[in-house]
Amino acid sequence: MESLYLLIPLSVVLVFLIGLVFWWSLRSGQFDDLEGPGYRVLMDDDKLGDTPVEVADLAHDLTPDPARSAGENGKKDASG
Amino acid sequence: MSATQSTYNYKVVRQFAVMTVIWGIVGMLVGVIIAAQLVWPELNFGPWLSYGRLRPLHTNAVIFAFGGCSLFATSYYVVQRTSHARLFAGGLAAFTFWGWQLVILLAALSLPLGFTSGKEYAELEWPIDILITVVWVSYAIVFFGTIAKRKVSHIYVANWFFGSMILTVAVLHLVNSAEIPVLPPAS
Repeated sequence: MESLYLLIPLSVVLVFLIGLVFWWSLRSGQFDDLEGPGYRVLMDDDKLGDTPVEVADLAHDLTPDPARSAGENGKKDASG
Repeated sequence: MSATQSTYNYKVVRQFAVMTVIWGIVGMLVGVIIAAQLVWPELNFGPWLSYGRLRPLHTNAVIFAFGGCSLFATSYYVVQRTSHARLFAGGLAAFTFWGWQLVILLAALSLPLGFTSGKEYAELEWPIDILITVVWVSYAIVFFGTIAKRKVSHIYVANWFFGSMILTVAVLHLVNSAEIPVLPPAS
């Protein structure tokens, strides 16, 4: 029971802290690309350093882009 | 030095992975023994290897030694590979390994000897609790430090889960193991 005096303030502090982290993750673009990161982990290699940028670009190229794929298939007008 | 910096830190991952298997075997073996003690009470040898002292050893070994080591191993591997960065503070990462093994050894010695705070899943006495806290804070520094030095902007989803686990266990351990009389009296 006495642990509530510790737990409740701690929980309140944590809620605001987690809220801040969530706000940061929204603002910093963590949710901008919802598809690419899932592909990027599959195209990993064992080297460190400059590879991530290339791999990230590659992942982005392979990411299904609804607008682009629709345009390529000539269905853009049909879907509109 | 530059050669080691150019690769991921697999040593600590391997160490934790091997100990996961070993502590899994040990912890589950103790589980088999205490299960057998329920059927054959003659297997309670002295106070040290009695059911009451071996049962918390079994739960601690399986949860904290087996489960803990597997979480260390997987989180250290995943955070490096998904961040494209070598583990932050390699020395501190090695300390989390040896410190965690020391916690497990102290638990394996102190619980059969009868040192217990008698609280479920927080049986270990306060000196070990302090060591757990130091190791866990080091773990948080290594893990979140690796995320901070990541080479890709996106934080992979598994890292959010591992980070939440580190935070949750920290709160759980601190509050559950806190000696309440230390706090100033309410009102």
